[in-house]
Amino acid sequence: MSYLINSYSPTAELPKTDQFKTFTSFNIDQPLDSFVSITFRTEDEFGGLNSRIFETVSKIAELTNNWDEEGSPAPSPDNIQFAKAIALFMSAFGQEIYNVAPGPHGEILIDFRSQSKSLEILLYNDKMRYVKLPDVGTPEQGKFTIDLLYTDLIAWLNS
Amino acid sequence: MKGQNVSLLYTLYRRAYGSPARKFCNPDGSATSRVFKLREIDNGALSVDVKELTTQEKAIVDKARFMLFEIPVSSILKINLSAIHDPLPNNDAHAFIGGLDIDDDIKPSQLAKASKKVL
Repeated sequence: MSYLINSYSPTAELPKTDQFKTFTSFNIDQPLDSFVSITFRTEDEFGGLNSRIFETVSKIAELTNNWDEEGSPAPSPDNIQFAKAIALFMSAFGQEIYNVAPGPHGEILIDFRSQSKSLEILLYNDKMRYVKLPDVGTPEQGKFTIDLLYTDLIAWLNS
Repeated sequence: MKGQNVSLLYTLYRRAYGSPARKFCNPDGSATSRVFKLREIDNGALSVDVKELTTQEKAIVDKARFMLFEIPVSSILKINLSAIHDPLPNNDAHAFIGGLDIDDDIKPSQLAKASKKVL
């Protein structure tokens, strides 16, 4: 599973929706060199809504193996970049991220909240997963793909 | 007694790593789902302490390195997990949450939502 973005470069003014379309057209199962690079403005310019999240992801990026003194591996650089990319796009769409955190398998948790509903995106080294926790009804977990993020998952969260 | 269910009237403590520079808890201080995520080395048993058999100071071991969360046994039973007393030679309050699956990411989220930070 190769993906995404090692750098962000300034770009001319693009409507936010066009930027997101660029993002969603990306197939994360493609090798990195076949990926059509995403142009984006800088984190500072675009990350305002989720600036706290960027700070936390930066702390997560500093973790080394056994960061919790219980043998947990550090999150991979690819997943660090992917978490930043999701935070950027969510900022562009005005969607606040509630929290990010590392996990005991080297995964990164990206947590969204809306009233009593929550949505978790989990970036493991060998898989990606979403978890929907509704206010009433049955929770659901499934395979996360980037095309689900805005049209399905965030739409569910805010419905 | 070892192997007995912990009373549903009791509460459990779950310790999580959290040095001052790396407190990866939620903005309101509550636990993230990762605090309750099972690892391979847990052998299916998520380690906890029974609140009624210990103190916060004993359960957290080192305030400078850990955070402490509590969760009612009733909340654990409600999502079809079990709470089993499992005393250790150096810790009579030790217990575990049973029934978790390492591939399940729903129950860790439910446990986190039912917990609250105490230290």
